[in-house]
Amino acid sequence: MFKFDLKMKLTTLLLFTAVLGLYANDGYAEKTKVSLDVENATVQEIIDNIESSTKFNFIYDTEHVNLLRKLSLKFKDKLIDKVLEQIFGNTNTNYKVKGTQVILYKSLIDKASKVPTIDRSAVEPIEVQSIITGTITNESGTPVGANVIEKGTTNGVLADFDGNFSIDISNENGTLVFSYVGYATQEIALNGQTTISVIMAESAVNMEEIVIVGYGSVKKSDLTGAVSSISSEDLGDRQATSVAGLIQGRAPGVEVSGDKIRIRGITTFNNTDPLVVIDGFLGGDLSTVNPNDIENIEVLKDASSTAIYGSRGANGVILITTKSGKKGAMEVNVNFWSGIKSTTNRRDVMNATQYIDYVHDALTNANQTITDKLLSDDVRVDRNDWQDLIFQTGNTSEVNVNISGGSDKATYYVSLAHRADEGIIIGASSKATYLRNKNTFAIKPWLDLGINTALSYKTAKGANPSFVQMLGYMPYKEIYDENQIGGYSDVDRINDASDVSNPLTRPNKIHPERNTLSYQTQVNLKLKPFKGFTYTIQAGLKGNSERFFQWTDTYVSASNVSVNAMQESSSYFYSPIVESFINYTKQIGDHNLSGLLGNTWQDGIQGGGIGIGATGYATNEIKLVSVASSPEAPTQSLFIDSRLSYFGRLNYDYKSKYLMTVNMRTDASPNFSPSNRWGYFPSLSLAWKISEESFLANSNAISQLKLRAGWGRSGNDAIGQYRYLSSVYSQGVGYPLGVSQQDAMGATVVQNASPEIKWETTESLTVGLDYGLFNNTLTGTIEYFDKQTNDILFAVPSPLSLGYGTGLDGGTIDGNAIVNAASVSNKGFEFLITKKGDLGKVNYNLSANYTYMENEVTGLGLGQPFLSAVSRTEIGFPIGHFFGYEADGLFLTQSAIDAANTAAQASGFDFFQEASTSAGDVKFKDLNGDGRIDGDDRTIIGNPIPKHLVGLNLSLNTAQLDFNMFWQGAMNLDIYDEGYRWNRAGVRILNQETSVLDRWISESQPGNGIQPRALSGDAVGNTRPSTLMVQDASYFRLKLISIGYTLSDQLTSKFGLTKLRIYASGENLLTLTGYDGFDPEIGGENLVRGVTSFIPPVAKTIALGVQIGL
Amino acid sequence: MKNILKNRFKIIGVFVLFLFPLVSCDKEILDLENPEQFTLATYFKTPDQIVQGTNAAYGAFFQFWVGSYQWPEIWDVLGNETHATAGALGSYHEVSVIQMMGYQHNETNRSVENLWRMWYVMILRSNLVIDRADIYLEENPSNDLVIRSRGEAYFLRGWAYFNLANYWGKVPIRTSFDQSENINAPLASSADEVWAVAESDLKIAQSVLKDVGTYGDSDIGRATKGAATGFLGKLYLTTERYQEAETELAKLEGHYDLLSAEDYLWNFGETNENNIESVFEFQSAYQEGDATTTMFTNVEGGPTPAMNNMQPQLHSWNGWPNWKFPPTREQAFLYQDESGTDFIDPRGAETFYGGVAGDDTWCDMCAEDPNRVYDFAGLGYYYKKKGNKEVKPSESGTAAGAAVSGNNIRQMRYADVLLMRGEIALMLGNPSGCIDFINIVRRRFGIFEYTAANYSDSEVFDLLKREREVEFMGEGSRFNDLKRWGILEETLNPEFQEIYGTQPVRASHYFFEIPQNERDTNFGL
Repeated sequence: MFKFDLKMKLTTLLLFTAVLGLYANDGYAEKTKVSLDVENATVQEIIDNIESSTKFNFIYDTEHVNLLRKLSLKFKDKLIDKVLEQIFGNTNTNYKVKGTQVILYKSLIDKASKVPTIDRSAVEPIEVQSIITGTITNESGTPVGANVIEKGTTNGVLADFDGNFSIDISNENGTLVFSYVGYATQEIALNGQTTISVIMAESAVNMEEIVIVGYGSVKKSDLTGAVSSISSEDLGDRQATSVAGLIQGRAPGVEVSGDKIRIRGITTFNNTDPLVVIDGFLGGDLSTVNPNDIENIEVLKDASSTAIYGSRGANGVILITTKSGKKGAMEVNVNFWSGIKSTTNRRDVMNATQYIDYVHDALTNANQTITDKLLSDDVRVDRNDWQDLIFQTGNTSEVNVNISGGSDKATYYVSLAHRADEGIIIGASSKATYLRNKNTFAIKPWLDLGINTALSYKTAKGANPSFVQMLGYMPYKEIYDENQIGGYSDVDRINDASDVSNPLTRPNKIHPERNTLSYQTQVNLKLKPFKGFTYTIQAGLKGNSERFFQWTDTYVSASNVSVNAMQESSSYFYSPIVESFINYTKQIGDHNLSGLLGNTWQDGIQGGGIGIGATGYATNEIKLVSVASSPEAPTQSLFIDSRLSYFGRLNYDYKSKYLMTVNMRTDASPNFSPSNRWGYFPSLSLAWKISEESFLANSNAISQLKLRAGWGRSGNDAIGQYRYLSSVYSQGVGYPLGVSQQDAMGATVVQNASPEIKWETTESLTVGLDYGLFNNTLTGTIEYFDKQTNDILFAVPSPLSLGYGTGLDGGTIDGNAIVNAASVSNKGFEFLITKKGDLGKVNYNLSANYTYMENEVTGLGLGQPFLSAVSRTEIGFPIGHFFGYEADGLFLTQSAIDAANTAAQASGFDFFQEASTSAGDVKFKDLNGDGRIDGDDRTIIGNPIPKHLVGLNLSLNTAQLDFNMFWQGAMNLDIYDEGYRWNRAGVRILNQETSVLDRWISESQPGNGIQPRALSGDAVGNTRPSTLMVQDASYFRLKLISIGYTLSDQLTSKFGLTKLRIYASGENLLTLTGYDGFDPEIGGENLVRGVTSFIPPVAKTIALGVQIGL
Repeated sequence: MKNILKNRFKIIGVFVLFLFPLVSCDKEILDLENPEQFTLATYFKTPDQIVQGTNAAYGAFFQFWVGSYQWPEIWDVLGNETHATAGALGSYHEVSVIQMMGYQHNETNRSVENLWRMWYVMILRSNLVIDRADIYLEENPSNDLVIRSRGEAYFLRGWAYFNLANYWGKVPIRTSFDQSENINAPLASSADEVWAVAESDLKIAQSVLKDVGTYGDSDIGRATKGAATGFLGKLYLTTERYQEAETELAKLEGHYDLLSAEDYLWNFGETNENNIESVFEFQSAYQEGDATTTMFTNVEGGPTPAMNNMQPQLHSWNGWPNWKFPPTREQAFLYQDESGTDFIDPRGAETFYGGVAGDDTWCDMCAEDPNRVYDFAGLGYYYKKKGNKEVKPSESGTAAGAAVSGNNIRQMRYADVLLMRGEIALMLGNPSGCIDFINIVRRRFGIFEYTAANYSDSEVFDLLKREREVEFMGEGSRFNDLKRWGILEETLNPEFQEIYGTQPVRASHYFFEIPQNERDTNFGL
C-alpha cells in the first residue's frame, strides 16, 4: 500500500514508482478481475479494499481526490477500468492505469485557475539564489522536453532532449511549474529540494475528445457550433475505397450519394460540394486521400462553424485529419484485403420471341413496314444475353502499409497503399497508389514545424459499354461477324429497322487510358513566442498532372465506320496557398478568451492542357501523330485563378459554462466584378453547459447537457470564371468560304456580361442540444436547423430567341447569363443517439441518426419559375422538382379518344392530345381544364430531395471478436428515369424491359392499363416527361457488415507481431427498396439531381483482409 | 539553457516580417483576364474582327443539326418529296423529322425548335456585327470590308426574319445587340411587323452589297447584292406585293443565268458550286476523317467547326440511307405533250434513279464498273440530286463511314427566279407572260414549249405548279409553294391518304407553333 502526501515525499515516490515501473506488468490490468461489494463506503475505503485484494497501487495527490465521498458499489469480476469508471466517472478525478499502478489526478478543467499566468509587466532583475536540477520523464520513462517555469515569475527554461533541466531560482521554497503539450501541467513545491525528478501525466485535455475546427481545435464539450465528428475508431477496421463512403450515414444531416456529399440539403444550383480541408490545407481533394490514412473526419454543418471559411463554407466543411506519428517506439501496420464484386441488380429484358412480337406491334402501330428479316423465324432465336456478356465478377484488392513513431522532438508517419480494381462491367479497370508522409518537428520550445506530403497516382483504363445498347441490342444477334469491319456483329439499319449497335464493340475497340498524378504538400510553421500566443504560417501546393491516351481500332457501329484514331492530351493544374494566422488565448479569472486573426492568400493558381489527335493510320503499331495521314488541329486550354481572404474569431467562455464564439471572414473572388468582389461572412454562436450548473452537478442520470444556438452567414461563388464579363469565342464558329472553301475564321459573343451579379449567401440558424446520460453511456444530439440561401447564382435558361446556347448540343457553353436567381430554405431536424455498454463480455455500441429535411424555394430573382430539362424551380416547391404531365392510365378504346377529341374540337382545338393519339396511348390529365393537353398542363411530379435520412450502426466487441454492421437509407425521394424512353416505353426498335409485355395490344388485350401500346417513334408523345418516368426511390441498405478476429497476445507475440487480426466484410449485400432500376442511390448534380440515365448498379463486394502490427 | 524571454522580441520581429507582406498583399491578384477568350470590350474593333463576326453569322446555319442534315429533310417530308426507310424510322436523330412526316409536329418538336434557334442565333450574330460595324464606321466611314460585312449581316438577319415571318408569323423581334431591354421579348403584334423588318434588312443589304462579279476568289460564297435582291423579290411575292416583286427579280437578269443541261447537276454537287445559276447558297466543306460525331455537336467552343453535311450519306445509295426517292412522286415527270402524246420529262433522269423517268445507269463516279445498270428491284428509288457525284474517300465503301460531304446547301437558283417571275406575271393577270418564263426554264433541256393560247388561267397555274415541282423536286421548294398558294391540305391530304391512309394536314399546319422551350424561358411572351 502506497499513499503519500506528495508535498512531503515527492522525490521518494517518484524514484520508487520509476523503479516499480520497471517491473510493471503491462498485461496485468487486462487480466485482473476485481470484485467489490461495499455499502456507503468512502473512496478511501474502496481504494484500500482494492489495494488489499489485488496488486494495484493507487498513486495520487490527496488534494486531487475527494477521499471522503461515499459510494455503494457491487461488482463481480470486472476489469479495473470499469471499476474506476464507476468510482470516478462522474467526478473531476481522472485515472490512468499503467501496469499495476493506478494514477489518480485532477482533470485540467477545474485546475484551470492554477495554470500559471505570466505577468509580462513583472520583468525585473532577480537575484539568483540557487540552482535546481532534475529530470522530466513521462509515465513510461521517456524523457520529456518540458517547459520549467518558476511560479509567479517569467523565469523559465526548457529541458533538453534527455529531459534534464537546470534552473536558477529566486526562492528556494518556491514552486516550479512543468508544462508540455500533451501533458497535464504539474506544479511542484520545492521546499528546499535542489534535485527533483518529475513524471508528467498525459494531459486530461488529451483524453477528452478534441474537435478540429477551422484554424484551431476545441474540446468537444466546448463546441458551440454543429459539428459531427467521425473518428477512425467509429469507422472500424475495414476496407474502404472512398472517403465519401466512410462518411455516408455516419453523421446526421449529411447525405452521400456515390461520391457526392451534401450537408443539410441542397442550398444552391451551383457547386454543392462541401469544402474539404485536409490537415488544414484549404480546398483539398478527397479523391487523393487514402481512406486508411484518415484519423478523424469532422463535418462542420452550420454557418456558425463554417463561417470561418466564409465563401467556401456554404455547403458545409469536411475537415480531414490524417494519422500522425506518435511519440514512442516505431509502429508498423500492414493491412491487406482482397475481395470480389458482383452486380446488385439487373433489369429483365424480353427474349427474342417477345421482342419480335413487340417489334411487329410497334412498327404496325406506326404504319411502318415489317422487313422480311423481322418476319423470319431466325430472329426468334435467343442467341445472347447481353447483360451476361457485359457484367462480370469484378475484383479489388489493396495493400496498405504504414510506419509511424517519434520522439519528443519529431514524429513521423509514412504510408503507402496500392489498390487494383476491376469493375463489374467489362472494359474498365483502375489502379491507385497513395503515398503520404507526415512529419512534425519540435525545433524549439517556441517553434514547431510540420511537413506533409501526399501523392496519389491513378490509372484508369477501358471504355464502358453503353447501357442503352446493353439492354437494347437484339437477343437474336451473334456476338461476332467476320464480315463487319472490326469483327463484331452490327445492326443492319434497314433490315433490323434499328440503330442500336453492338454493346460489346465499344469496350473492345476503344482503348482509353488516363494517368493522373496528384500531389498535395504543405509546410506548417508554428511560432509560440509566449504563453497563449501562436503564430502559424502554412504554405501549401497542390496540383495534378494528367495524361490521357486513347487508341481506337477501326470498327463499325450502326453502319457508321470509325477509322483507327489516336487522341492524346496532357493537362496540369497547380494551386499554391499561403495562410497565416495568430491564435491568442488568455485567461482572466473565470473568463477564458481566445482570439484568431489571419488571412488566406492564393495567387497563381494555374492550369491548362494541350491535346492532339489524328486519324488515317496505315497500321496499329506506331501510334504517333507523325505517321498518321490526317492529323487534327491541336487544342489548348489555359486557366488562372486567385483568392484573397481575411478572417478572425473570438471565443469567450465563463467558467467553461457559458460559451460564445464570434467569427468573421471576408473573401474576395475574381468571379465577380470589382465592385461586388468582397463578401462578408460573420457568425455568432452561444452555448450553455447546463450540466455544469449546480442544480445538475450531482445528477446521476445527466452527465452532460449542453444547449447551443448559432447564426451565421456563408457564401458561394462557384459559378465559374469570367461570368460577369461577356465572352467572345472564335472556336467552332468559322465558315468555309471562297473557291477553296477553306474555313474562314469566325468570332462571336457566346455569353452576355452579367456585371451586376453578387455573392450568393446562406444564412443559417441552428439550435442544438447535446446530451450524455447515465455516465455518458447514452449520448446524443438533437438539432434544429434553418438554412436560408439568398441570391442563388444560376444561369437561368435564357429564351431560345436570345440566340445563345449553341453549346447545349454537346458543348460547354450554355450561353445563359448568370443571375442572382432564387432563394431557397432548408429546414430540418437532426437526431443522433449512441448507446454504449456491455452485455457480459461483449461491449456494444449502437448508434442511430436521423435527419428530417424540407427544401423549399422562397424567392425568384427574375420573378418567374424556370425549368432546366425536367427540373423546375418555383416558389413553394422543392428546388429542382420534376415537372411534367400526370399520366392517367390509357385511352383503352378508340371511342374514348374519339370522345375526347370531339370535346376538344367543341372548345376550338384540333384535337385533345395529339393528332394521331389512338387507343392504347397514355391519357394525360388536363390539369388546367382548357379542354386540351399542352405545356400548361404540367405540374410537379416528383421531388429528388429526400425528406428522411437514416443511418444505423451496431458494433459488438469482445476481447478478440469484433462485429460491425452499418445500414443507411433515404426516404421520400423520387428518381426521374431517363432510361424509360429508351428501354421501357415501347417506342424504340430496340429490346425493352419485360414491363413492356404488359402493354396495351388491342381493345380486347388492354394489358395492365398503364403500359401504353408499342409505337415506333412515339409520334403521340407517350414519353413526354410524366409520372410514368418517376419512381419512389426510398431505400434502406446494408452498406457494410464486417466481422474480425484478433489473435490473442500470446499467439501474436509468438509470431513476433504486436497485432494480428483477420476480418471479412461485405458491402451493399442487401438493399430494401421498391425502386426497380439499377440503383436507387443516385445523386445527380444540383438541378438535374435525381435524373438517372443508366446509372450502373452498385457493386456487392465481399472481402477478406488481414491486419498485421509489427 | 534557453531563456524564452530573450527570444520573445526576436520572434515577434520575425512574425511581423512574415505577416506584414501577407496582410498588405496586393489586391491586384484578383484582377484576372481570361486567358482563353476575348471579351466584347476588346474585340470587334478592327475590320478583320468584324468580318469574323459576319463569318460566324453564316456559321449559325450549321448549328442545331440544321445545315448538317435536317435542312433538306424537313422540307422534303413536309412536301411529301421523300420516303423514310427503316433506317430513318429507327433512328434517334430522325424522330422529330419522322413526326413531321406524319404532320405530328407541335410545340415540342425538336426540328421546329432547331430551326427557330438557328435563325435566332443568326440574328444575334448579325446584330452584333451591325452594332460593331456602326461604331467602327463612325470613325472610318469608308472601310469597304466593314461596309460589306455590315451589309452581309443585314442580309442574314433579313433572311432569318423572312423565314420566321413565313413559318411562324408573329415572333419576337430582336434588332439590337444591346439585350439589356429585350432578354425577354414579346411577340410582334403582327406578322406584317416581322415581314417589315425582313424587308428593311434586305433593302439595306441590297443597297450596300456589291454584285457577285466583284467578289474575289476567297470571298466567293458571301451574300451579294443579287442574293439580297432575290430574297427581297421572294419576300414581295410571298406577301403578294407582285409589282415590287417583279421589279426586284427583274434586276437579276444579266447577272445570273441557267446552266446548260449537261451542267445541270452542278446545282447539286460539290464541284462548280456558286456557279452562274446560284443566287445564294450556304457553303459546306468536305472534311476528311470521322466527322459524324462533330456533325451532331457542332458547337461554339468546339474544337473545329465541321461545316459539312450528311446529305449524300442520308439520301443516296452509297450512304446508310435513311431517305429514298418516293415512287409516287415519279408521276410528276410523266405527262403528255400538247399533242396528247405521253412524255417523260428528262429532268426525271437528273433527279432520281429508278422507275421509268429516273436514271437507269448509276454509280457514275465509282472506280469500279461505273455507269452500270441500275438495279431497280434491289435498290428501290434514290435521289440522284442528293447523291454526291464526286464521291470522296470516306463516303464510299461498303458501309460508307463518315458523313463528311461538302455539298453546299442551295437557297435560291436562277431557275427559281424565272419561275417566280412567271408566277408574278400570272398573279398580275398576264398568263402568257407566265408561260414565257416557264418556257425559258424548259428550253434548257430542250423540252417542248407551251403555247400560251392553249391554256386557261387556271391551266397555266397547273403548268406552273408542275414546272416548279419537276424543276425543284427534292430541293425544299414544294412545301413553301403549296403554303404560299394556300393549297397545302387539298394537295397533300389525298397524297398521304394514298400512302399512309391518313389525312393529317390541317389549317393549323401553315405555321409552326412557338417552341415550348421558348415559352418556358421567354417571360416576355
